[in-house]
Amino acid sequence: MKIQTIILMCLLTAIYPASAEDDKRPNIVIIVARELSRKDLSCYGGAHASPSIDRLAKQGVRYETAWGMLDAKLSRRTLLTGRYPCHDAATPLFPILLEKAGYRVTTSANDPAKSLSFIEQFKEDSPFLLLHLDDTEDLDVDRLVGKLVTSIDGKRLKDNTVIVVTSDHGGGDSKADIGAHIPFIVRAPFLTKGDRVSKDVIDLSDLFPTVLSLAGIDVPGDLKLDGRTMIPSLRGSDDPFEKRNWIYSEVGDFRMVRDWHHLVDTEGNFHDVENDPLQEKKVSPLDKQAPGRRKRLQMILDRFSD
Amino acid sequence: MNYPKFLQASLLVISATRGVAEIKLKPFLQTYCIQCHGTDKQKGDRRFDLLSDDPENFDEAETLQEILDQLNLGEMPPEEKKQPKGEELKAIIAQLTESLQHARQAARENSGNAVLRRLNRSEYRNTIRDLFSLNMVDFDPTVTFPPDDAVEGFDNVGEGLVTSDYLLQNYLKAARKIADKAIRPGPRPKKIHLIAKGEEIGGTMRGFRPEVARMTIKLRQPLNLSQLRKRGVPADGEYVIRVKALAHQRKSRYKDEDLRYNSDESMRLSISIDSRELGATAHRTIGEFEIPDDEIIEIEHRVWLDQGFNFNLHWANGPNGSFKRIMRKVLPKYTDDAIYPLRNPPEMYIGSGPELHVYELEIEGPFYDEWPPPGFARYFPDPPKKPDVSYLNASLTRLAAGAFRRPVDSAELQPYLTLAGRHFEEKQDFWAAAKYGMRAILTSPNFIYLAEAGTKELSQHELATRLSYFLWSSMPDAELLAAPLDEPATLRKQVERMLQDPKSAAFVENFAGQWLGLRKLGEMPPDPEKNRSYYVDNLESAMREETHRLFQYILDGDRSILEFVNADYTFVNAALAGHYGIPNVGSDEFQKISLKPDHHRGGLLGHGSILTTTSNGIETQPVIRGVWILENLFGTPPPPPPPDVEPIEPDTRGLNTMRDLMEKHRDNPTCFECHRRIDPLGLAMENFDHVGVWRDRYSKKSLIDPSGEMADGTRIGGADGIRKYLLGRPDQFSRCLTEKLFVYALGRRLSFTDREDTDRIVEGMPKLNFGLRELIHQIVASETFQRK
Repeated sequence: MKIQTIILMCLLTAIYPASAEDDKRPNIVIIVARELSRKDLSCYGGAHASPSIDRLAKQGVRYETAWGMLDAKLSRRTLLTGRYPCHDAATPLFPILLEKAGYRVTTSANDPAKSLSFIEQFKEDSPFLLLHLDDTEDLDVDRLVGKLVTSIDGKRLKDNTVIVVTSDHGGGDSKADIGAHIPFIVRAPFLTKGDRVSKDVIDLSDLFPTVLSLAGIDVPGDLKLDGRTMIPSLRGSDDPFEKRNWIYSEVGDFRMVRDWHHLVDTEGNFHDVENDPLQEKKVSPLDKQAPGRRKRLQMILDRFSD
Repeated sequence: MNYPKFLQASLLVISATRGVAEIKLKPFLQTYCIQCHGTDKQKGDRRFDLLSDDPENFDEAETLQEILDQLNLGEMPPEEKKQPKGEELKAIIAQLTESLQHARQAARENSGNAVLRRLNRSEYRNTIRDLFSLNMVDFDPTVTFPPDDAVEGFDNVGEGLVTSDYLLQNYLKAARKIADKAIRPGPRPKKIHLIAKGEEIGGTMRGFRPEVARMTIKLRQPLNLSQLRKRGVPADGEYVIRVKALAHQRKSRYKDEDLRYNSDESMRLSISIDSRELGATAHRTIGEFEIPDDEIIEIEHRVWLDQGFNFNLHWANGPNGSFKRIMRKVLPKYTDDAIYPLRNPPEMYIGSGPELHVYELEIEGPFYDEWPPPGFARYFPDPPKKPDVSYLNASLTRLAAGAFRRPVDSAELQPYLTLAGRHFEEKQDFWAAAKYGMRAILTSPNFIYLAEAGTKELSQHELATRLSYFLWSSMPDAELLAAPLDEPATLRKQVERMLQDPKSAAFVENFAGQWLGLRKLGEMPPDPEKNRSYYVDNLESAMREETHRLFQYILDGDRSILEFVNADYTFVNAALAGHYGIPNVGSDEFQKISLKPDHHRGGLLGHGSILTTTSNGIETQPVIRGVWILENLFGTPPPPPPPDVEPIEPDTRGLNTMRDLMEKHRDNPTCFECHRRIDPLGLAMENFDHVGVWRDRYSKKSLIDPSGEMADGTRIGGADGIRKYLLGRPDQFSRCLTEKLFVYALGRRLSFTDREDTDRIVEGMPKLNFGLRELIHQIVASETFQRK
């Protein structure tokens, strides 16, 4: 399936009839920066100043452990369909589902002006979804985020608008934890008072169910999803049964899964990525917990083998 | 047979029949006794053919007293043997009574042996507590002392309180520890105030919500303050511990049986203390608190902590077992993402089940009501900047008067003062010298021994001391030492005061505990596998508590001692009531409840403590129970089995019941001699199992038959039969308890010279409604108690 075609479709059919006046469903803004690495953002300890994104993180939740796929295209596909690429399943895209449900939807492929004017011209007749796919240089996206946030807040939409800033790929070519890591920041004032760094593990497949539940849309009955809604995590829920306990990434035939501590891949690697993020060491045979952790992750990884 | 009335009658007989029906003791013994207690046989280890018929011989008098008692009780000669005629019996009883009375008179005039006995372990401890006003909860200088042997069932009887080289070594060590503790010069120790919040709190798993420290299982995940972990608190004193806690998800997705947990109970947080230096022996729970669901509660607990002690928080009723077990075995039942039976990441569980959350943990202290501590200032008041020898001497003199429980004269104290003075001169360290002198005083025989020297009359101080060790197991206080105890009204007032003082708990603990053998509870604990509730519900301490409460209740209300035999009430908590099959006791608190006859529980015979102590943890031991009843309720202990008789290894094949087994005793006449008295009592108690649960049958097939016949021919049916039997002979139980109290009060065996006071007291008991408090007043007022 060609992602771009579908996105184009969305662009052409952007205007939908208004819903009821007292529609309290939140607005959703998703900014997916192309190849934006955590190393680029100062809130992740990166080298570059990213004041706008940092401020957003301060007002929301910043995820320490978020994975995309090991390839930007695959990441976007996962994001839009809620399914891992390996399934190769035909699934609806969430912007379309939202549109059907009465959302005003705009998808902007690297067109900051369009995105900004969409916000500026927004009238509060129905909630909106803005999906902005950014393709600029690193620091431009920070500026864009700053402008979008200023505009949203200026229109007093802050309290009812969810803003997600993430990336489709951030780690070069390595088939490892660092290759899958992406920044992931969410501001949602009605879910969290913010200023939190979450250690919950998430991946891009979680965005689809999250958006659906924010919009109050039931997942279609025949639709299988890989991710889970992040709303409990955003609320700061303690309960692991409401959250992910592993995340997944792939490229080509290569697959890997991890949890809070360890990583297992289809090439037989097993690492304690919490203490060895660059996967340089073997796990010590004295680590009594490791074999159990490995078997569990292997069990999950095996679900994705052909 | 009503014993004292009979005795009274026989005394009257003396004056009426004197000279008329006088008969000789020897021929009487020859006719009725020698057959079994002579050259050929010495049943019960008794032999009378060598008696010289001279009651003024002290040793023989004891034997004659025993013969008299047996005749009075009608226990001897045994039913099936030749019986003396009524007249003959009266005459011999009268004669024996009179000659023993003479003998007593003579013995009293000639004796005057100083009673010398040392403090036993608990008396030593209590005395140190009171001498220095020390908090002894976690300070026990006697911990290495050898246990004291009991004589006549009590460990304060001089005869058993031997002294060994090992004990002397321990006295020296203890004195050193005490001196270090008691002498506290210098300024008030600095306060500490430590606070930890959420994941700063020691012992919690980190990396979750930082504002919360969590406990997920019972007891085994203690939370604490990491700053105290190495060294504990810096000084002895009172500390305040504050905790902010919340019960999280008491009910959760997990089934109780998976977590081995009871979600119907409110969560309880307990605080324990321990010391790295002292190890496991110092571990103790100091408080337990109910934590409400989903609401932060603030707990404040004041506690005395000795230097080096630390404290821990626990979830007292959390899931049983290890956290590992939950991760490996429980979690996989609830999610496909967990693998069985391996270690899954704790992140998969934390937050999903019941948890006890702690938000804040704080300790502040030490606090002192007074500084310097009163137990120090008492002997070392207002120490000068540069204390000198005269201050040292004055201080040690004050201490010696306290430690020796009487005024001291300077001559007898000189050696101690010289010793300390020399130490001061050599080392030039005043407080080291003071400690040195204190150690000398605390190892002096004047301190360690309760010496009563000189005349037969006790001095005021000696009487105060005797009284104090009777009712407090400790030294007399200033008021008691100063009181004119020779005035009966004053004496009575002091006894009342002493019984109202919390220190009298030692009397209940030590007297009742030993009279009834409660201290042995727990020596043969039931099998943990088959008696889970015994351990889970802490029944052992509940049982002990029940008996203590009964004693305290009878004592406080001056209630009839016959309520020990039968009472229509008892004291239980929910667990013990459940154990007894008594419904509708909901609270964990102990409470007084009314008993119905079908509860079978009235009086000591229904107490779990006693029924468990007299069993071996697996099954009942009717012989032990029978002996227990004879010894502690009837006051007629059977002699120990003759040394040359091997215990029967009964052939148990084909035998169904305990009764069948006991019938074996009949086969051997030597055994049967005593067992005819023991076994019926023991078998009557068979409706109570080895932990005191009521039962009607051993198994489906075999019903329990608790009926039997006492040695005097009375039929008894079960425990109620024993109760009835005893209530029909109130004087026998009065005598038993009076004698026990006397032994305990005097710290020595009773001799036949004490008999008059005992008889008089027993005789007066009905008029006093058998009140226990009155009984104590009677004992204290008796000549036996007030003389040596």
